[in-house]
Parts: sequence; structure tokens; C-alpha cells
Amino acid sequence: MSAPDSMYAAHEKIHPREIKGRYQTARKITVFLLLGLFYVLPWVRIGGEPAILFDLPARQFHILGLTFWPQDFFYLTLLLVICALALFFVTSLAGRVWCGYACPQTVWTEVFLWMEHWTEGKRAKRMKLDRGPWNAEKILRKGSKQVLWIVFSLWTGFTFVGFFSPIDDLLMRAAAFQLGPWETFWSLFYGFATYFNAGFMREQVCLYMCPYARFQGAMFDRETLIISYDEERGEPRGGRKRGIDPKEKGLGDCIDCNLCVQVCPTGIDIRDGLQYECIACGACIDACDSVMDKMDYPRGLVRYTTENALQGKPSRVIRPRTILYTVLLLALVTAGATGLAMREPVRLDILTDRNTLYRETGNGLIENSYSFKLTNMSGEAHTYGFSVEGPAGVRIETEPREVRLTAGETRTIPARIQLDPDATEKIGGVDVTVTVKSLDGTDITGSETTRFRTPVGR
Amino acid sequence: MRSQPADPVEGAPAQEPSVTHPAKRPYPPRRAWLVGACLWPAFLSAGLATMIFFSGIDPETLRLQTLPDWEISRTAGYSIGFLMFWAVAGFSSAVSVLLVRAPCRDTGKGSA
Repeated sequence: MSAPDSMYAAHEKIHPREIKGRYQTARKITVFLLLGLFYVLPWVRIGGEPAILFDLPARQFHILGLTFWPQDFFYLTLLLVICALALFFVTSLAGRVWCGYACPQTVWTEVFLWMEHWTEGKRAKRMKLDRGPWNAEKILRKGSKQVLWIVFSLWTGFTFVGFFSPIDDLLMRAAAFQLGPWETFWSLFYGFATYFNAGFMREQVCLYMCPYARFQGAMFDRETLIISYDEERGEPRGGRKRGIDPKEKGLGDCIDCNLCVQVCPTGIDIRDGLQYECIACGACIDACDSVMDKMDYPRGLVRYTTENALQGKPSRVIRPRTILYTVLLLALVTAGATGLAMREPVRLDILTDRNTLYRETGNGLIENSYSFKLTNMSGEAHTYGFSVEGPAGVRIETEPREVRLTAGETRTIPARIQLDPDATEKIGGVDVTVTVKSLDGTDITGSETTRFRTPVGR
Repeated sequence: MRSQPADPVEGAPAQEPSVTHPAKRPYPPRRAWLVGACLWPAFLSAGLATMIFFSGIDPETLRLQTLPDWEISRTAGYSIGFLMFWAVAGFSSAVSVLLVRAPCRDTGKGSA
């Protein structure tokens, strides 16, 4: 703890009040959906193979039947760019829905809050418990919360490692205490991160650690959906009895019950206007709507709206910003999908022999030596043969002539290409294209162009 | 508890007893945050760097060319690589934090 005169305030724990409503139901559904995916996906198998496995030791990613290799890094980059753009797009349209509904920090915090609620009770009870002395009840309640949290975190960390190592095998080895040192390390690391971030840091991650929270404002404009308090309608706020016409008392619709503040997981007052702390979870909307219902006032004193709408101007969904994001997204997704569809599961890299530029054979041909690096990126073994295209009479010899590679195997194959020097007018060199083709009827082909060097000054 | 003068901002309006108002809190809230502010961005950068670095370079090749007698699995290679990237990036962040903070001119107070 810092000294009282320090410029650093002591953190006070926020006890968000439970609230039911449309947006909280939506959040609950997304929590189940997203965490369900996280905890279930590693167990799913398609045709005996894990549906998702980032097999780092074998340097292969298996995603829904597709196998990706380090050579496919391009797709990963593309995916990340698409994700970033999609985030910008959604943000410009609907504000921080990512923060409120989908961010792992929010989602896990929500689950940890549920467990806190089960063990320590509702908000008022939790606050009382925190203030109270360490009696048997407090120890029991806090203790059981910790047990739940720790077990859940450990399972989370284990599941995380299950994305990188087949999870059923992992479970067997974990049960026999035979996990490798790094598997143990990473599952504990991830488990601890979950426990710490969702149990203790919570909204502070969003407030002080999240870079997105700081720059999301750049994606906002006057047409972006935000959660806002209708000041015009609500002010002047004040308490009143039910059934009294607020206009007679000179009051707005806000009864100043403070419920919107109590439910806020980041502890802000939405009536102070748009704040960067707001993660757009909609808890205050649900809270206010429930109060409006009780008071027989129309809902929506706090609501999803846009700055333009608040000022009585029309809001547009289609605007230059959203059009730009849509076009970019469509282009990138199309490019990625096309690339994936046309991806040939074989890769050929050609290294030229650096020691000798060329060699003249006994029968007057020019010969260049190469090393072919051939990778079978498909899921099964194939036999490959080579051919070459270039000036008339060009021919290729590899050692051996046909190569059989198992799934995922890479091999270096010595190769020689020969050409009659009279076949080309060009001095110094000519481009030739080597094609590799599977010979077992699967019709997998790949090609690579390289330089064939010929003598200068002929 | 709220009754203690925990909030040092002068003129902070008396909020509802249950409310901690982040907007009225000074920033950053705690010294420990500086540690977080070093480690967290470094963690993100290290993740990115690990991905890019090891997508191009197989830790197995690296091992064969440097320490062929040691037995280092790929998993260990990735992990060590990540932790190294994290340490380097964290150190860089720490120096940045040190430089960004105003130098302490008070005598008797050690921290800068």
C-alpha cells in the first residue's frame, strides 16, 4: 500500500451489483459460447485427428482438417490483419462490443464474478463480508471462493496447453504426474494469469493495461453506437414517490437511484458522459430499464445510441469509414480464401551451387548444379518427379529420379540441368522453370523459376 | 474502507459511499502499475516476436548449429525464445519508464 500523501491512490475493490436484463442475457450467452469453444475445442476430433491442434513440436498447425506449415506464415499474418480490421470495423459501427462481450478479460472476469456471487452472496453481503472480521463464515466463504477459482484456473491452464499438445494424452500424463517441465510451466503460467487477471485485476486491466481501450476512440465518430444517458430527458435528476408527475416537481426522468453506478463493472457513472472506462457491457442499460419499468416511465433513459441520434440528427450506418473497412475486409478475405483454395501441398525451393557457375559436359552441353529443397506439406506420403521448361533441349537430372516423401517431410535433392549452348542467344544466363509433380495420380504440382547460367562471351 | 482519506485528489466531490470513481482517481493508481506497464506490453511484443521469429527459424536447426551436444526439445526452444524476448522487451520498457519519469530532485528520497 502506498503512503497517504502518495500520488498513487489505493485501489478499492469494485463490487458490481447483479442485474438481469436483455444485455446481461446476451452477455451470458456469449460467455457460454466463447468459453464453451475454448474448453471443448481441444477435445473435438475430426476423423480421428484433433480438430484444432497447434502442434509446435512438429511445426504444424492442424485447423479443421487443414494442415499449415511455417511456410504458410503468410496466412497467419493475413488472418491477424483480417482480425484487426474486423475489430476496427465493428468498433466504428457498434462501439466497444468487443470489450463488453467477447474480450477474454471480460469473459473470464464474468465467470469469476459468478463464482464470487455463489460463494460470497450478493453485492451488499460481499461488501459486508469484506468489511467484517475474519470469523468462521468469512473464512469458509472466502476459502471456498478460492478453491473454486484455483480449480477453474488450473483447468483453464491445462486446456490452454491442450491446444498445443493432444489433450487426451495430456490428461493421462497429467493424471500420472508425468507432464513435461514446459507443459507444466505453461499450464501453471496460463492458469495463474487467469486467476490473477480475472480474480484480482479485473477492470484494472481494461483501465490501465489495455492498449485497445486507449486507441479505440480513433475509430469512433458521431455515428458510432455508444451507451449514453439521455441528459435532456433525465435532468434534473432527483428522488420522488411513485405516481407523481415529475414535471410538476420540475424533475427529469432520472430518479437518481444510483443503480446504474452500482452495476457498473468498471465503477463509473454513465451519467457523467462517455468515458474511456466504459466497456459497453450494457449493465447500466438493464439496470435503468428495470427502474423505468417500475416507475412506469418509457425505457431507454440509458441506451445504445449515437451522438447524432442524441442531438436529433439522423444516424447512418453506411459512411466512408464503414465502406472503407468493408471493402478492405472483403478484399483480404477473398484473397485469403482464394490462396487457401489454390494452395498446393508441395513446396520447392531451389538453391544454386555457389562454387561453380557452370560446367561443360563431355558432349558439349552446359550444366548447372542445384540443390532442390522439397517439402511435402500434405497429410500423406507422395512420390514426386521433376521436369524443366526453358529454351529448347533443356533437360533435368535429379538424384534419385523419383522421390518419396512422407507427410510433412523435407528433403534436399541434388539436381543438374543441362542445356545446349546454341539453344539460347542470351549471354550470361537464362530463366528456367522447374516443375515438381506427384506421380501417384493425385496431381499435386509446384514450380519454381531459377537462373541457368551460361558462359559469358560466346 | 471509504472513511479513510484514501483519495488524495483535492476537491473530489463526495461520491456515493459505494462508488469508486476511476475518473476522479489520479493516474496511475499504484506504483506496482509501473511494473505492470513494463511487463504487459513486453509480453505482447514477445508473443509477436516469437511468432515471427520461429515461423522462419526452426529451433532444432538453431540447436544443431550452436549446441549440437545439448538436448533441447523444440518446445523448450520456443519457450526459452519467448522468455528471452520477454526479458529483453521488459528491460526496454523498464528503461523507458525510468526515463519518462521526472528525475527526483528532492534530497533524502531515493527513488527516481
